[in-house]
Amino acid sequence: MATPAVVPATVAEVAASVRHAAAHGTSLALRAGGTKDRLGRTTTAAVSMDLSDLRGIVTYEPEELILIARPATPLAEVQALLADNNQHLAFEPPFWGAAATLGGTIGIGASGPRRFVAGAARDFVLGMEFVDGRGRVIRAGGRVVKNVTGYDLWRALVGAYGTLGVMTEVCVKLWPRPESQQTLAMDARSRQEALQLMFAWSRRPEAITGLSYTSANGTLWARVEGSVAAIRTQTESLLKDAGRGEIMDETASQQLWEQIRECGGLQMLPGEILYRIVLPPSRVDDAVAALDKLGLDRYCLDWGGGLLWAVLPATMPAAAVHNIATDNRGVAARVGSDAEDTNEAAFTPLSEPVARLNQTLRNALDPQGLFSPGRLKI
Amino acid sequence: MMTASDPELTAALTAVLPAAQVLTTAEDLAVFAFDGTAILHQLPACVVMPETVEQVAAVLRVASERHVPVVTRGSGTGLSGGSVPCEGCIVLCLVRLNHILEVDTANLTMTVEPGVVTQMIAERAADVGLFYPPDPGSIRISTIGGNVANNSGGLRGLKYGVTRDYVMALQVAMADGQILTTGTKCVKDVAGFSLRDLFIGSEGTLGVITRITLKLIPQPAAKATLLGLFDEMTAAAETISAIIAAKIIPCTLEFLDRTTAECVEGYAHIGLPTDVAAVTLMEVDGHPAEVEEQAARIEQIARDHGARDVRRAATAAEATQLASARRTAFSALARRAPTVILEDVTVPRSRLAEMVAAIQRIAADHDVTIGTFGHMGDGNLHPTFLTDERNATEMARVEAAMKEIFQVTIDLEGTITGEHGVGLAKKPFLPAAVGPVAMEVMRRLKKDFDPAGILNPGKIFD
Ligand SMILES: Cc1cc2nc3c(=O)[nH]c(=O)nc-3n(C[C@H](O)[C@H](O)[C@H](O)COP(=O)(O)OP(=O)(O)OC[C@H]3O[C@@H](n4cnc5c(N)ncnc54)[C@H](O)[C@@H]3O)c2cc1C
Repeated sequence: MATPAVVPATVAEVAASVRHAAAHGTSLALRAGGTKDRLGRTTTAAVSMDLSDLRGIVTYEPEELILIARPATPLAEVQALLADNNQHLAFEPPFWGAAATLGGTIGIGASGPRRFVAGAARDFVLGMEFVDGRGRVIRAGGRVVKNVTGYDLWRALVGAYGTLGVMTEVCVKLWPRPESQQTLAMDARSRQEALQLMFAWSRRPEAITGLSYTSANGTLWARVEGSVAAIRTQTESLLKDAGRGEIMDETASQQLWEQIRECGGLQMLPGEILYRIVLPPSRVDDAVAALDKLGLDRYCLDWGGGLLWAVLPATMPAAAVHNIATDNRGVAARVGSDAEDTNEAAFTPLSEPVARLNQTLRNALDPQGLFSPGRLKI
Repeated sequence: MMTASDPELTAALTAVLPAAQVLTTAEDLAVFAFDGTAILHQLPACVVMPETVEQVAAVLRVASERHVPVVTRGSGTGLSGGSVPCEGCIVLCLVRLNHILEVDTANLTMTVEPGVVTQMIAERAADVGLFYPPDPGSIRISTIGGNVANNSGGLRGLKYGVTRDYVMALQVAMADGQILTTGTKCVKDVAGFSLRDLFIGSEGTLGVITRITLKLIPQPAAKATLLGLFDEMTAAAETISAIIAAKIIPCTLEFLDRTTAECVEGYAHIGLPTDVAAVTLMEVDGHPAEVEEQAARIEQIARDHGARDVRRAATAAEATQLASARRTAFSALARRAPTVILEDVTVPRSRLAEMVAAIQRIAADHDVTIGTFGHMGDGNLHPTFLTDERNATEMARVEAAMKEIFQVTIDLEGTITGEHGVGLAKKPFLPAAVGPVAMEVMRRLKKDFDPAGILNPGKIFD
């Protein structure tokens, strides 16, 4: 781990620190709440740039459906403010820990259960201010949804794991919060039955905003959100369709999806490693069968089958899991087990030409590779 | 008969493509000299019509070796001059690369070639009970490749977003003919950076999009269509704000000003009064119970804000008729003048009334005719100049009015382009909009992706 050294409190200080680092060739580990350390590889950066002081909401305009905040603003603070105004971040970001920040969420590009219908974190970022690898401030995108102003370079910072630039302000798109929710919980006879129902339901015009399945007790969950009047009829129609199951009320439903949002609600034991695999829903069955052969212990499906959280023995080489992801036209990410785990094989390798373009993009924004080197192997 | 200025180039191209797919005669080239943008035109050296990805790559290799510029083109409906040729260029026209390769109903995706007309995609999705929401006004003619390259919007932008939101993966031919795929099918998440996001909206300057995987969503079960008639623009704008404040996100929130409404009525005969200040088209979709509830709310909100009348479609046919008030806006205006210059500005929703008032004042000050319509839900307006490019003094006034509109847009914290791209038309305004550092980074990236500078040179920036 890099030693803490720089703690900028303003964009000007970030720019000055980066220029200083650039002049001395000192690499910087970008960090705020520190809740996402186990995602991605461990950076080899020499010095830690602690962004915790860059916090606070800059602008909140409920009528414009936008919020602008500094990156280290706690996610919990953002959500509480939005909830007071019956709004929310529709991509339902996972926290990974109470200290989660808005900037960290965007830096990882983390999206929760509603993602398969509402869109991903990157779809909700309208613009940002950031400092590039030469210590220059770039304001990109805007506060309006429609905005064509050349290349959307800044979008690459979403999900870049702090490697392309230092976000100093982000503008996100907000959405009205559904009035209420209910969840149908049912025992699936098999994974195949669960998948079949998930496929069928994800094609239905009902406002189904959560479709998850856990191998632990074979339960399939379907969440419906909307107005109180509308959701009742919808969950009942799902219940009729499934032929069994029970309807969870608003509070129980909320609690359930908060759990699923966090790694599918799976708890790790010593000697186990968690993988997050994103793949076409139609390939899940094959992927799980292949993982079974590697000693898959338990798993959870989210996004109607598009996301698979899998628990495997730590002894299993990550490459085998990445191969299964690739074979099934997906990508996997290994979640590091603890602070000692450098998580070398966190990501599914890129094809050679794509890796080259990744490097080109990195060179354009951070030519010296100052920001979080090694975090995202490309 | 004039032939291509470069017979050697023609020979090199016919060595990799059947001769019938290489156009060189003056009358063949003439129709490719312009796109949907007024005033701009330039003849290319030749036009090629590849039918396969391999042919696209082969053309790019020829162009790379000979350092000949390549201007990629879909249907040429662009409104910023993006596919207007540059001198001596090859126009790479992709309309024959027009196959729907796969409709995957299990994963809710469709994979298509870039020359497929957007409307075909919407229809194919509907055939299997699915929905492809982006619906640019040009949906019947524009290509999906053009939509992606321009990140085109449409009438459903507020609720459903723009083209970018539906692109899962792209196959791209780079300047040297190398083919690469960004993202795998059905997975918007990728390892590494999101290159897909870089190609979307890059207007043919970073690579040629040769295959697109799109996300489809379930067809909404119900829809309601309402038309609001207002005597005051502010009342219309306040209605829109109040609808959103009521936590309703309509799928369509469109607007016509009086000039446009008059032209539309003369063209489509919908029964619009011609003395209204604003007409709004408002649609909600989703679960039937919710749609019913929301439509009633919207009607009430509009009336509370002083709407002269609110009409609600009782049937699908009536809905189509009401919606045609907005759909025909451009055509209706285009009929009225020899030269139609359609602008594209976006302001925060709360500034819409101010913006429309400013446009009307500017039109009066400069003695020009401007009809304004647009996507109120996302603040994107299209002030449309009705003029005649042969009238130099009027064109000078148009020019001055346009400059003033851009300035007001920026003063209102808006942007000077919403959905039509930068191309040639907005190029002079880009540096002020994004700043020198972003310009420098973009140029650098362009140089790295396309070292010889053959891909649509002179578009977006020099
Ligand atoms: C009546 C009318 C209504 C319109 N309404 C809307 C609207 O509501 N919303 C909106 O956003 N736009 C609208 N437009 C603008 C225009 O239709 C869109 O920009 C459309 O996406 C262009 O598609 P096209 O196939 O005509 O592309 P072209 O005009 O041929 O090309 C557009 C740009 O994309 C590049 N390009 C095309 N294909 C590729 C490819 N495969 N790979 C790489 N680059 C490529 C070209 O080089 C050019 O820069 C409208 C235009 C008209 C005439």
